[in-house]
Amino acid sequence: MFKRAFQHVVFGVLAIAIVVLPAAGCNTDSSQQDNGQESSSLPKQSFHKPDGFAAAVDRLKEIAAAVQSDDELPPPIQFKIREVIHGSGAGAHSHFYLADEEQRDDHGHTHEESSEKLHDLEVDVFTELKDIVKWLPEIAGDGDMEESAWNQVNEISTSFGELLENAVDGKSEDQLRDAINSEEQSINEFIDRLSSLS
Amino acid sequence: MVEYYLAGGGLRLWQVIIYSSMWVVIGCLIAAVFRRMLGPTKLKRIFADDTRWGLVTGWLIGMLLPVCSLGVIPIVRELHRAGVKRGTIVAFGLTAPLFNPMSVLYGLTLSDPIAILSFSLCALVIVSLLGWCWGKMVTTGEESVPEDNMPTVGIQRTISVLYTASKELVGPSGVYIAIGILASMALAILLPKGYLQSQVEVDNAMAPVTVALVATPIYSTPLLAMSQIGGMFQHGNSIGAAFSLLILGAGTNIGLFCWFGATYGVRRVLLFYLMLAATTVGLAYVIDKPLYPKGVEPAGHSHAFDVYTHPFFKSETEVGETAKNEAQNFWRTNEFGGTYMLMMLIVLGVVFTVSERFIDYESWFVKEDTRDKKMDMIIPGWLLGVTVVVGLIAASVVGCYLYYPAPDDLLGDLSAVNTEAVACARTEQWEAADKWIRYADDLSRRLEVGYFLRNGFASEYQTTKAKLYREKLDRLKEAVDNRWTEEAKDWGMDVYNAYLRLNDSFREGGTRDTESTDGDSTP
Repeated sequence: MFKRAFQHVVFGVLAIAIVVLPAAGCNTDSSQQDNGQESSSLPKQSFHKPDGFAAAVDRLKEIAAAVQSDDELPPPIQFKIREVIHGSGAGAHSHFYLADEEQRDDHGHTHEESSEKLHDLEVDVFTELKDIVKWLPEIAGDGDMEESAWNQVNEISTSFGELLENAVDGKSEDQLRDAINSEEQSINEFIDRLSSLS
Repeated sequence: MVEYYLAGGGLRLWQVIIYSSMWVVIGCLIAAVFRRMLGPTKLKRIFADDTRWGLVTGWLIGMLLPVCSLGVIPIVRELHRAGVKRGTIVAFGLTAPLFNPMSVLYGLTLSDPIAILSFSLCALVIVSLLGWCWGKMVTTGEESVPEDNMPTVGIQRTISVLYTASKELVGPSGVYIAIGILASMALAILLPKGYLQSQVEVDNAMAPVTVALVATPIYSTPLLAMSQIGGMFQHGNSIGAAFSLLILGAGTNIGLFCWFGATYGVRRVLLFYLMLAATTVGLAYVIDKPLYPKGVEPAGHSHAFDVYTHPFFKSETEVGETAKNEAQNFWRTNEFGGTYMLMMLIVLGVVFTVSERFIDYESWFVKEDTRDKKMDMIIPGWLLGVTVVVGLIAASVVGCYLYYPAPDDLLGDLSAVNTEAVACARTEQWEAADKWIRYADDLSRRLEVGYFLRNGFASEYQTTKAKLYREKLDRLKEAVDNRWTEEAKDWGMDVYNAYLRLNDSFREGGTRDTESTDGDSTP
């Protein structure tokens, strides 16, 4: 019995060693590893998210008017983003802040080490339009809107989003403008309905 | 450095023991009931062993029984002992730790129901395929125990169940369970804090493989795994990686594979593991894109692996003291009696082991009871079987309703917890704030499930309010983690306002119990 139990223990220790030892190199000093964030692209940022439903609808109106006019399109919004990278290697994770925000003091209570990188981010009007439409339910939900009104916003966001998705998929800037203008009536109807809810 | 490893390993060991204790006790008791009350013949009949439905039956019973990947070890040992087909054992052993009624319900509210149903179906495909292959691969190793060894009905049978359960725990099953726990702890202290946080993104093609490589030694309960998978859906992480985490992380552990290896041979088990990993990763890639939730933007990171990695950074100081405090907090919030039951069963097992040198328990269990038994009622086996199945279903349903209380009741608790979280953050009680924020997050999820259970649905309006509330909590946690005083105050008020909206949306015809707090009022 003891011999069999001993065999079980030995087998278990070997199994743990086989599976776990390959991971043993993971917990090394960060100075010995490459920073895994160096080559990674920025995840989706939401610095252009409007502050409140009324602001979102106003911005949609501005964008629609600009796209539908004969004037030049407004230039992309530019953000300078500060990426704060905590840890290193596979254990690294990043936080993103606007660079012109007041620098927050990281007291380092929970983070081993940190480094910073600056990024330039541009958001063109078409991206902004699609993003705001997608964010509408969340923006409306972050206020005191009644459920029935919110349901309408949600439904408009879905329909409006699908329309934009079909219109703008893989096109150049001029083509995008033409495609969106071809849906001018529907887009204006959506925006009017949203205005009545704000 | 020694303190870093001791404190981290000790804390993770403590957490796994507390998480697993109740499930391990249940697993040992089920194994004992199988042996002493059902016996091999009935057990094989229940598992449809002589029919072509053995694999599906193993899958279905596995879905029903509330055990984890450690608690399933004594049960699969008993099934093997009873001579149940190898394929059925594999189907049962891989399914039981993945799902139970509570975890599936939880999962349904965390992501698109189609996603969880797809996960369940993919699990069925894997266990059926591997069960079938295993049945063909292994032609030796079955044991059979004669039916006539059943204990005498009455107190002897009851004690025999306790005897078997406790002896199993201090015997071979206990060794395999300990191996599983130690492997999980060993992995945790080797993986640095935050490991894989940024590597399970949807645009990382290698995410399902990366997770598959590290997931096997992980220990997770079905509920914990489901909540982490839900989190991965909400953060827009790789769905394939979430699937790998479920099957290889929650479904298996090193202890279980050690038993397979000791019973069927190491080479076969290695081949089996390769097949399991390959099937899992293959299916993970199949479902990765189709099941990706619409409208979710990648968060750029995942916290799904945080509890499986080292709890501290190397540069942190006083980690021993921090680990002690965290262990105490963990005990207070996660210990529901399971650890005491585990200890009692271990003590009982030791007592039985020592005393059986002088007492022949096995003979006493089968000894004919000559006392007057006019008042005793002999319960037929079929009635016992039906009672067990109905009892399990009833216990699962009751368990679901207890774990997910009525929204009105839960909102009362959440109100208090939310107030504590915000107040602690605003008054710079960082450790307390961290604890209350986690608790508030958990309660908000249970709120959704509780509402869903009682109403059959939760509207998009309500789920959006709950999601927004958790996002505000996440942001407050960031302020708490970094000790940002001003942000903690501002974002604390955001949390409080989001809670009020959440409260409104879930209380039928309810109104706010306080006035709007756009100003700087303290909740």
